[in-house]
Amino acid sequence: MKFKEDSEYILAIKKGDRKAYGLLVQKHQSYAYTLALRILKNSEDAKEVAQDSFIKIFHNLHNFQEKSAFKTWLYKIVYHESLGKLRKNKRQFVSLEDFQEDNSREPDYQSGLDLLEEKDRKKIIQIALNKLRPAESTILTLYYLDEQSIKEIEEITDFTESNIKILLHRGRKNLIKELNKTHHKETLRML
Amino acid sequence: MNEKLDKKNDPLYKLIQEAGPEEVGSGFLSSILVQLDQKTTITSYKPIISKKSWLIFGLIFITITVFSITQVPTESNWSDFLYIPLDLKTPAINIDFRLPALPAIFKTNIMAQSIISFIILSFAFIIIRNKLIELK
Repeated sequence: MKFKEDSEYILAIKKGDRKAYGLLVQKHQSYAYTLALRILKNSEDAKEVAQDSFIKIFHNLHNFQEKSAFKTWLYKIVYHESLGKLRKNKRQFVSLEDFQEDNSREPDYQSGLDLLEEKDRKKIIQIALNKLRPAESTILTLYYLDEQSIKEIEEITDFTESNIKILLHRGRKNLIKELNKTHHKETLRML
Repeated sequence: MNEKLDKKNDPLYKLIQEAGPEEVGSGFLSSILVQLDQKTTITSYKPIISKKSWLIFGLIFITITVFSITQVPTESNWSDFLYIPLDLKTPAINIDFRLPALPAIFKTNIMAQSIISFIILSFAFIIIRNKLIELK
């Protein structure tokens, strides 16, 4: 399905077009859900948070000034709603201090993954991302999947630029480690 | 620009893009639309005191306040006004409609003005605060 620009939908919604809101949700639902899932690590909670965020957005759309992109605004709401849910669930969001420097050698994950079928490769990457600490998988998702810039991630998460860079660096390292582990397990399971 | 180039050259970018977002499953959108309809129904309540009633109360309150400040209490009776135009013979019983004596706190104009300003500013503060919360 080909979607229009967000601004066109927003204009229509402000004029009372409920259908346009449905299309706007459809356009962004997978990304909003993925971001929530990376933080909450639970599909039911992530679905609930993503839906609540879209409802909140609908009721506050008249306040949206379009100073930033709609996507950035959406991710900010999903991110903070997810943190709220985490706090409610009395789980802890990983703080920067929790990260331990890991100097182990980076394994050669790429050559192995290249040999796999696209579907399996996709699954392995998603499993590995979900195994990362919430802060790391969130930053990696925002940076690589949602293609947000460091500046936009700053706006979404309220982290400083240097914190984001640290999280990106460690996220990359841990993802590679997880990819190698998951890939090994999945290959064994497939045999 | 550099950030974008670096990102695109990063092998993880290709991998994560290839993995794409997770699928939300069916019923995601319909659930949102149902909740939106429910919320709209819930929020369309009728307040016990309508806007019109509040306006009337407000006007009465302002009139009394302004009247209390500007009018100096005299010895005359309110009921005296009734006798002048009609000049009717009324019964000997005269009900005294004196202006209610203002509380001691209103004895000086400055005090009265301060209290009224405080009440008005309090209302303004509540309204502004609610608006800010709404905006957030």
